[in-house]
Amino acid sequence: MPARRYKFFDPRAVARLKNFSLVAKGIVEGFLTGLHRSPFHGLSVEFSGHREYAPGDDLKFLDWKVYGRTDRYYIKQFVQETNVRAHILLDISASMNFGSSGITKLEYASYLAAALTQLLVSQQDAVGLVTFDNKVQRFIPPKSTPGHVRRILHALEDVEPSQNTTVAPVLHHIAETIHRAGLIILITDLYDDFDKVLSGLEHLRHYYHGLIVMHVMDENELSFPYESVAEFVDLEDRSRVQVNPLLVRERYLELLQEFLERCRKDLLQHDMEYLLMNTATPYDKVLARYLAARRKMF
Amino acid sequence: MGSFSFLFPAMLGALGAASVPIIIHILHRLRSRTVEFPTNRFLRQATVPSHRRPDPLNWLILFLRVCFVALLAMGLAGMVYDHSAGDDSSKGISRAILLDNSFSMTARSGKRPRFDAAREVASSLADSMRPRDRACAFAVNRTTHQITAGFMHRADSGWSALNFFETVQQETHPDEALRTAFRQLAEDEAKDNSKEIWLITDLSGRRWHELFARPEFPDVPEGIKLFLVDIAEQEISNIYVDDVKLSGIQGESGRYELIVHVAGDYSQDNQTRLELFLEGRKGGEQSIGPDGRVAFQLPELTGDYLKGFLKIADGCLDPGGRFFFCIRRPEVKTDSVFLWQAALESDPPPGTFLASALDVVTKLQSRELRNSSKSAGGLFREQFDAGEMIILSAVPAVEQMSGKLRGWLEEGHVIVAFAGPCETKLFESTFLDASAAAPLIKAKLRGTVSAKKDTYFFIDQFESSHPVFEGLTSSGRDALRAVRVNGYWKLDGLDPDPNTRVLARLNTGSPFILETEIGAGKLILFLTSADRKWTDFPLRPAFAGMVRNLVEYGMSGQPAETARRPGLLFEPEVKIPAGLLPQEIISSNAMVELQEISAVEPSPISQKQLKGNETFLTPEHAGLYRMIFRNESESRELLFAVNVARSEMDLSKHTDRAPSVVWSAETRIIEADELNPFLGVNSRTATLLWPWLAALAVTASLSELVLSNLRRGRSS
Repeated sequence: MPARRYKFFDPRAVARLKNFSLVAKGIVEGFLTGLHRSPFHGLSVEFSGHREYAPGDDLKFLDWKVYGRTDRYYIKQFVQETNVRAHILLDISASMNFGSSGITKLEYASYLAAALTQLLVSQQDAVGLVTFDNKVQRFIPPKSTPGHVRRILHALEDVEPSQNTTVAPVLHHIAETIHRAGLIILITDLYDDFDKVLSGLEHLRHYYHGLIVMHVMDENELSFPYESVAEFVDLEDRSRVQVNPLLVRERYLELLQEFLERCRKDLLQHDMEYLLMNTATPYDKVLARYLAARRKMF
Repeated sequence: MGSFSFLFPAMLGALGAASVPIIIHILHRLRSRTVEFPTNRFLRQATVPSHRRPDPLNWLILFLRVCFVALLAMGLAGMVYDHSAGDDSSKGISRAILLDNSFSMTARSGKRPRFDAAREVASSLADSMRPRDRACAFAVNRTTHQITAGFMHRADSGWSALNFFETVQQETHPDEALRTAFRQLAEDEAKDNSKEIWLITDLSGRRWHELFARPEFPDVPEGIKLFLVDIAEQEISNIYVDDVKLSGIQGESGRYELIVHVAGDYSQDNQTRLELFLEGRKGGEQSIGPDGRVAFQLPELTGDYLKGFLKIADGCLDPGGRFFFCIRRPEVKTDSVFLWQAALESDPPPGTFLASALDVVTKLQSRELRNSSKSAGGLFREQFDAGEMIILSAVPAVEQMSGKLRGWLEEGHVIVAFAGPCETKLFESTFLDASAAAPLIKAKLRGTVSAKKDTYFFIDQFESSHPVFEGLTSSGRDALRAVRVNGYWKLDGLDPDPNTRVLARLNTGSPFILETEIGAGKLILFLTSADRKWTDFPLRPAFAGMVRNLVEYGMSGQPAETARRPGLLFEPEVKIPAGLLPQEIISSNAMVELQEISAVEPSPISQKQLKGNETFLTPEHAGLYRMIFRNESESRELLFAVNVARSEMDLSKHTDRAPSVVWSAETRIIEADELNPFLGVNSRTATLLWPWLAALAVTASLSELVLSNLRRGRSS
């Protein structure tokens, strides 16, 4: 049953483990074990061995000679080589420190980045990490070695929410820093001037980077379930506003949907992938959506 | 204008719970004030920021919640509304109750002793106390005794001690009593309370002039109110007779003269009071001489006039001496001799003697006494605590009188007779009493002997060892010899009889006082009259002492009927439950049966054979009871009530006949205890507000529910 398989990737359960290495490895291995069809194949010509054919395997890798001799289907396997340089851009601004269901957006994003790192490295891709708020806080260049994975995971463990977010300057800075085309995965809540954010993303796109924007939202942000009159404090600029939720909920949800729809449309128009997820979304679903998006790109 | 008070003020601490809704409200406001949110950009666009406007509905709901809790707290604290409280109910009262229990309070005003009335006043004062009031009670006589253990509230136990105090043979010393009250009030811990002294007295006694002559008490706390309760009900009091000494009574043929000598300052104020008193009675005349001699001409001693006379005379008794009182009542048209011992104490209790005499005289005047079983054939005797009075009155014939006397003597009683003049139109005979007594001593009266002008006879010999003269001091003996006798009866043929003794002789050798034993009794005959014309013996201080000895001597050898006397404190033989009054049975070998007449089927609930003097306890349970007392010679009954509401005290509801013979001359009703000792308030005047508070609390609660639902519906 799918639901049973996914239960181990519930974000709140994962957050309780507090072990990035274990969590990332578990997520990815579990995710891979559950796939019916191998979603990736290596481009290397170095033969590594045979394995029995399984439905879904590409027939072009069928070893007909072995079939002739044994009357059984075997698939030839090759050592896969790295072919993508991926950068995970993680927003660590104060707004990411919001959470209503036992896990903050930043924690969710951090585990997601760890899982992506593990997945990419298992595909022999090189992975780098950039944490930023209104400037780049940490930059780890992409590599694909196991030691590099541990370095990234340690960096994710040390992540602390920071100041205000100004995404656009950071994107421009990274665009000028990374010239070799690769994959850019931006994990953020996009609470910035979206036109400027889009400008930065276009700058990256200009250098032929593949762009996947993972828009992380909390369930309370999406549904706004508050009822009693309260003073809402903005986590980034600490501004306050007194609101009767019962009176503003409908209008708030309209404005939010307008924002999300614009993000989706504008990013797709610029040949970028947009993945909206709330912190209750299981990680394996996110990874599946990531792979689907990547398949479109490469 | 009434006042609110609380039975359990400690429970008012629960009022603090009224703050709980307010605290919850404040906490709720604090808790919901701020919510951290990732961004306010959409919230700002969604609404125009505005300050929270107070919602009247919220405030109304909060108010109702506070009311609900406060009303419950006040209900728990036993909030009462006392209709009888005054406007100054915010302050309590500290009250010193001085209850006069001197011997004069034994006298009756109306149908009951003054002391009973005074005790009832004291009880009503205690009953009227509000929860914050406090009072202490003292018994006042020569000294001042605590009745209560210091100040007490109404709800405290100990007020029943009022019932265990009786009169004592002492006079009132109001000065000392007031000093004690002042001291007690000065030491009162409740400094804010207003102070009151209630002095319940009959204003009888010689010490009052000391109080009223005092310009001020040096140690009187400020602001004390003194309430004087005249239990004698507006009767004239001798307190206004300042330093007056009675020197003699003169009278003849219905005209009596009271001569008083005024010593010291006889103020115009006091004189005016006396004049007012006399003018208020019919026929009163008075004259005040230049030397301070005041003479009151009393044309007849009847009714209230006699009362006033007796009271004045009573107040003039000399504390250091004795007093003998002799009245002849001309309107009875016979020779009635009142022999009376004034007192057996060294300090005679004023008011006692004459008040008792007044009672008897009044009865005699109204012919009630003569028709009663106690007055048989004109021979009346009255038993008192320390002696006996003999009255010879309305005797139809000498023979009959003698027969009565002899029969009575043979029963073992004592007669003291004066062979005085008996001027009566009825018989046109003289010296009736002497004529009646003479046959008893087996002698003949040989006429009277009168002294010549400006001469007199005197007592020359007397048996100083005889109990009648026992205890006389040398001055007393001198006083006895100084008695002047103007006339006496001469006896002839006095038989030598071993039963007859001459106790005193005149200087003429004629017997003056004779004693003879007849049967088991004794006759002591004075061969002179108590009239002033015959002798001044009764007016001599020695005479009272001799009469005292006479009474004691006459009573000696007779078994005392009781060791208890009215006015003497006694320790109850059994433990008396609080709040109950013992009914004293002064008789032996009697059967006492108790019935509850308020029961559906009146039936005996207890029977007891008394042996000797025992104390009978009233039952503990509330109800109306009949106690039937039977012995060989009589059957009496007493109706009484125990803790019965006042409205249920009508005995006619429970019995179809009034008690024909009433124990102790009256039916004694024990005051119903209408106070709830647990609540400590007077249920006659206070209303417990529990039902109202509960109703208001429920109303507040229901209103809060309705408004809360209304608010919820408006929000959604």
